[in-house]
Amino acid sequence: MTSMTNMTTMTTMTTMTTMTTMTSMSKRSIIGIALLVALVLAAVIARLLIGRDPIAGGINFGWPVAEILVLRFGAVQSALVAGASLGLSGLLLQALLRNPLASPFILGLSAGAGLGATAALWILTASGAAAAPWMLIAVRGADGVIPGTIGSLGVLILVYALGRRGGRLDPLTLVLAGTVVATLCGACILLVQSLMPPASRGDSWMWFMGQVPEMPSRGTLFTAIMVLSIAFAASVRSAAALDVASTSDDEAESLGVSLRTLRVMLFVCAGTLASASVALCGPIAFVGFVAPHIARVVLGARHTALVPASLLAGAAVLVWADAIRQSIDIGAGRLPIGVLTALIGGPIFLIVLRSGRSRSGEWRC
Amino acid sequence: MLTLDSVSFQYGHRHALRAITASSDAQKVVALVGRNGSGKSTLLRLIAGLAVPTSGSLRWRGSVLSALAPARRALEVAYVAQRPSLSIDLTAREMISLGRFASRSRLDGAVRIDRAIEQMGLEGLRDRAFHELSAGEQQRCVVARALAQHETNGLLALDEPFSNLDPGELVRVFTVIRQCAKEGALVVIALHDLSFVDQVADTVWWLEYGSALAMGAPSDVLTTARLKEIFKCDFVRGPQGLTIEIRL
Amino acid sequence: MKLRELPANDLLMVALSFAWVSCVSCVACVSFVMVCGGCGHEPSSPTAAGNRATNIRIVSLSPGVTSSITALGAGDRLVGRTPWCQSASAVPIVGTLLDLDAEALVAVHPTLVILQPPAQGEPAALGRLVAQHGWRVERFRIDSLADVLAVIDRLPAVICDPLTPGDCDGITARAVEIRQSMLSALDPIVGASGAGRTLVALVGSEGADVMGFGEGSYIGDALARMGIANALTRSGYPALGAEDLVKLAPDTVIIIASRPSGASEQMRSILGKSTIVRIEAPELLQPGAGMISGLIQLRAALIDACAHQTIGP
Repeated sequence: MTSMTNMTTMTTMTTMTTMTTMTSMSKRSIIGIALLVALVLAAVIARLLIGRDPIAGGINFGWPVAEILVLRFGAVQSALVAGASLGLSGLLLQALLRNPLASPFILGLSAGAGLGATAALWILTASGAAAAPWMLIAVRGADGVIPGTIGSLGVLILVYALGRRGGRLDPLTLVLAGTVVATLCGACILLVQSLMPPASRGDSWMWFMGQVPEMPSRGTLFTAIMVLSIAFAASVRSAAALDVASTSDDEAESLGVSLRTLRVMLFVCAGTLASASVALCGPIAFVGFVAPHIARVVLGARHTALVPASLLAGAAVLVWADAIRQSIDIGAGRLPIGVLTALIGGPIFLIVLRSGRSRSGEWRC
Repeated sequence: MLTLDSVSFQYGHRHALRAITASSDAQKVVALVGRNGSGKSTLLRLIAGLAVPTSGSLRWRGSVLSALAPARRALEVAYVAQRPSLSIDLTAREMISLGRFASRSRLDGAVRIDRAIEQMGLEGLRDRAFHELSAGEQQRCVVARALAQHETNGLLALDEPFSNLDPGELVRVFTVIRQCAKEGALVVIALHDLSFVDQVADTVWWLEYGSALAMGAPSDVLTTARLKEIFKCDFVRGPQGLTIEIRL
Repeated sequence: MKLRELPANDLLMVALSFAWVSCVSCVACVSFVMVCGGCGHEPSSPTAAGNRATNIRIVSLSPGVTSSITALGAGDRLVGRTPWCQSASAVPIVGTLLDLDAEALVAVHPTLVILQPPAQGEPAALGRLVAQHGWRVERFRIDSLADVLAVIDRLPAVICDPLTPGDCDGITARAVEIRQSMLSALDPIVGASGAGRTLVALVGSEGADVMGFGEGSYIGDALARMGIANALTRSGYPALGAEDLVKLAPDTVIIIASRPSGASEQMRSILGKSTIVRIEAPELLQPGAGMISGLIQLRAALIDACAHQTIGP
């Protein structure tokens, strides 16, 4: 009799507590996610409707003709996938490195991709007519993404090897290794560029500002979507562990998180997401840094909500940046996308800096 | 049953623990006492399975805790660090719910969390941001997290969990600890303040320079003569426990 | 862990996040339905002012080719350029090979696309656009002086409109003129040895390293044809610091300055014994038919230097 009463009380209590928890937490989360989805949709619509007249100058606004619509939609696809990848990659890296200032390129990925592309270009130019057929395929095949991808993945492996301490990945060592490798790659890129004729230097500089291709290569887009889906699934599954891992190493391990495997998973996911994004759109700064912070402002700090939210926020930022740059006409053609994301990301970074300190003066992540 | 057999630990070349041999059954509270730097925190980390002894063996119920996977180990032992991470951007309740991570597939999570909150007297603070709480409130949250994690008959390893608490909060935590022990747990606490060791602990393990100085019941181990020799000040043992005598 | 063992909140998050995928799919479906439904309006038909040969609409993705087209007097048939094509500043910008503004490119309705084939291969996106619209594509290499002359020879046939009477003849005649000027500008200079070892350098900002034109560069080729000894015997475009300049000790220095600066004063202080001539010829930096006026300036400066040296200090 007593055990029956106990069980009934227990069940009632459980149900009531679960429901209260669900309603109190989910309400904010539902509204937040809905807001972000709306933001993405609004960005997509804006990008599809805003146009620029290259001949007469000026902006026009309206549903475009079929052929132009296909081009705009292609840009939307590129921006959605790359933006979402960068947003999620930024969140995972900020969790891995316990640092709210981390971004996907803090590990030196964009420098690695740039070095891969520049080095391949230089090898081809240097060998000239003597270039072997395999070299040509390696550099020009698959829409030219192979050298850059090899570069970024190579940097990943190097930083992984350098970033271990005591047998497992260490946040501070990773940042240091990434910074050193990025600086070295950057120096090599400048070296190769200085060897090129002055007339062709302008073009390659522009690659570092990023692009949003209106006709993305099918293969690259598909691969990027696959990488995004797999990384997203893995992140959702580890979201609870990410909350635990934001405490100290000892506490996280004692609460049941295997930091060794979690850090490897975070590193691999964040790295491949950033690589895929660079393969699709080149290195676009700030999106990966800013998106998790937007997500935090809207949804709080729990990673179960932050994972989908960072994805949405990243997509929103990049599509909005692309839409806004369509509407800017300063007579020099379209601004590079990197300029827009920096102009948007910079002020948001300042806001984070001002509001991101807790009462104890320590950083909240 | 916790058994330590000649456990030693080194940080590089520095010997933090030397050949500690001890054991304890469950349903007991063991107090680890000693001066600063005597190795209390190190021993507690070893007991929690967060480090591997350089030599010797440490077993809980026959298994080596440090060899278990973290997810499995978290079900056996709950640990409170001496300096827990405080800059966490979660509410108090969310922070405490991290204790249920290892057993998140079970349905009684919410109940356990609320019970821990109630035991630590944190009902009014559940929705406040953790980093905005006072030091004492934060400490109670961390203890609540360990309570939420802790399974009956499990091991509780607490490193100085009282340093920021006022007398009323202190009494509350003591009561909870004794209750846990009564229900089947083994609680190992590292303590600075010797005033209430007599009332809280069943056994005392006294460490000095990483070695075991004395082990046994509080009244046997913490004699005023020994205390004066080690701490270089006078202690008086009254009916409620030890007090320091300050002569100016 | 099985899906149903996840806490309820997490399930909700997973479910909600797939709203993103469905939203994007919805947008895709809606767009394609409307496209098939034939919604939309035609953009205003392209009428560039003063467009004589409306059949030939050229997009040039190579600054060198753009300057060549302008030099041939056919600049009015350019409808698209890169930001670096300064010689045709009134023409709309359609991006570069690395960052193509596909929408702008389509909007200017070209019939001919001209580019310099890059080492890393042409972007597949351009290939797809070209195939879709049936545009003509012509490729020109412009690395050496021989290439520049080849461009002048081949360009008229590429850009002229055979249907407009007199168009091809007119452009070809202009090309022949420029070729003659260029060849006579490159004729061996009498008394070239008088200039001694000559360095042609590009000076950017004050205090920065200067960039020299070595052997095998188009300026190096020009010097060779004029019979002038290039002080820089290595190939490429090396950066030269003050010490390098002193070690090089050229007899004559021709500075190509793109804007007014104190460069020649600085040079004089480093190389007191050399003859230093400054020419303002930014068009020399872009190999193509457009550099003819720069070449003429260069030749004049070199002739002066030869005379100066022969006369004596």
